[in-house]
Amino acid sequence: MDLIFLIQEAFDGLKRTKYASLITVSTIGICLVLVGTYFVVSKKSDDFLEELKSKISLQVFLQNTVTESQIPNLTQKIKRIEGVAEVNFTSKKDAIEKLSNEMKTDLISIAGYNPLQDEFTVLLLPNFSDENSIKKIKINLQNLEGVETIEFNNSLIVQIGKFQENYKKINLMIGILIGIFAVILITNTVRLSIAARSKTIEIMKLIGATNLFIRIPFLLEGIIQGLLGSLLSILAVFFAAKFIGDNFNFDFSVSRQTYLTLVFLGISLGFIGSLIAVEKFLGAKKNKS
Amino acid sequence: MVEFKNVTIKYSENVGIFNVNLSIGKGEFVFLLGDSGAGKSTILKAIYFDEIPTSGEVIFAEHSSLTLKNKELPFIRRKIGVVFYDFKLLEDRNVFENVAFALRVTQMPRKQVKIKTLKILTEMGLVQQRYKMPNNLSAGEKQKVAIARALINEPYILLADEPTGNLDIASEREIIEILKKVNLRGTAVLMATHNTRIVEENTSFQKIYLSKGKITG
Repeated sequence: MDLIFLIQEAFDGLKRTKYASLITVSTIGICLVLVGTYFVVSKKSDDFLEELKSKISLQVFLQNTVTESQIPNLTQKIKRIEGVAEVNFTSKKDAIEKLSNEMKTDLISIAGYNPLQDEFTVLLLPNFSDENSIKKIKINLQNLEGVETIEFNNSLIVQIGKFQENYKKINLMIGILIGIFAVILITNTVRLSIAARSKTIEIMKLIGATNLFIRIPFLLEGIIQGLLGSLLSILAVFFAAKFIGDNFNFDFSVSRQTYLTLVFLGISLGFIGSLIAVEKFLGAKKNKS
Repeated sequence: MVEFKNVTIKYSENVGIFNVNLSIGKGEFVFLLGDSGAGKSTILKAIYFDEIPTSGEVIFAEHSSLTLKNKELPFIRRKIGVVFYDFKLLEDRNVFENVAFALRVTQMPRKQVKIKTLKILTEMGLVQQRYKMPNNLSAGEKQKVAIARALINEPYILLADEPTGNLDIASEREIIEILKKVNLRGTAVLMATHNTRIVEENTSFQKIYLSKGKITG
């Protein structure tokens, strides 16, 4: 197989149909910009939700009978509970001092005693920030000796949970719609650019070209068009992200994985589009001949 | 070399060819005559296995339509040259590339492709026009390019489907002379035409008359 000739044929094919190829590459580029934008916005939204969830914490108040020497042991026990990310201890002495400083009032002299309790602030892992997980963690905490009460903002947790659930559904729907749109548009554009040369395929068959010989240059063309389209979309997404970052002071960085995904999508869809078109024309009368 | 045994290719009740028996030997020049729709093109298509008989058998060289495999088809077609009234040239390639392409698909080395292509273009009187695109050629020149492409693989037979259908009388005579020369060198020629003047001017060749899909003489 004269591979150099076949590669040359693919590039010649692109050159001969340069305007059609330009339109195909641009279409692939525009579709993949849409896909890339979806990836970036979706990732940023996920990051924002994760950050919000990482701020969910439980306040664990201790009985007054708990002594300072018991604190390290209790800290270790809390850390061992599944779903706990971080544990911070605040003594009632530190707590009243902090509060008094904030209020610029000596609260002990007003109350005549320290009304606060020793407490742990328990931060959770993102995957354990839903209502059910928190309930389980709360039970585990309550079973520990010396724990009196546990406080947390239940309504916020419920709201975040509901929002995340809806967000996931909507995000998935948008993703599927964009995906279908991109697949249909890209494969059809590539397919049409090759369909315009059905006469070439017919002549190639007539003069004795094997199916493989006919197929390879067209498939390479599809791959090249997909690659060029994806590179176009990468440039557009990169500069758009840079513009937003520079002008709106907003971190809109795009991961390398997103860029690689765009290249992979471009190449795959270009390949599939050309494969469908070539097989259609090669398949004509196949059952007969 | 070519044999039809009770060949029927049926497109509809009365359209196609029906119980055709014919035989074309090596080095023969045969006119296939009949009106439009008589089935001339179908016979040619059956020879290069673009149509497979509904019943009967077509044999070309050692290949039979009954045992033909898909993967054999490209290699069989390299032994058959085909020219059409509409030339079927690749409009986006120049004369040289159009002719050379038939060799490139056989994966012949470039140097040999160049030598063989220039040789046949010289024989056809087209070497000066080798860089011209098909739309800058006259109809006669286009047909000569198509013949050069059909002959470059040194086929056993040249099938010509109304090759002068788009030509003026001078070009028509030039193409017939080329086909005669091709035949003199040992290549069988089967030319489908409804042009009776050509037949009257070339009475020495064998003739097959076709009407409504049946051989009438």
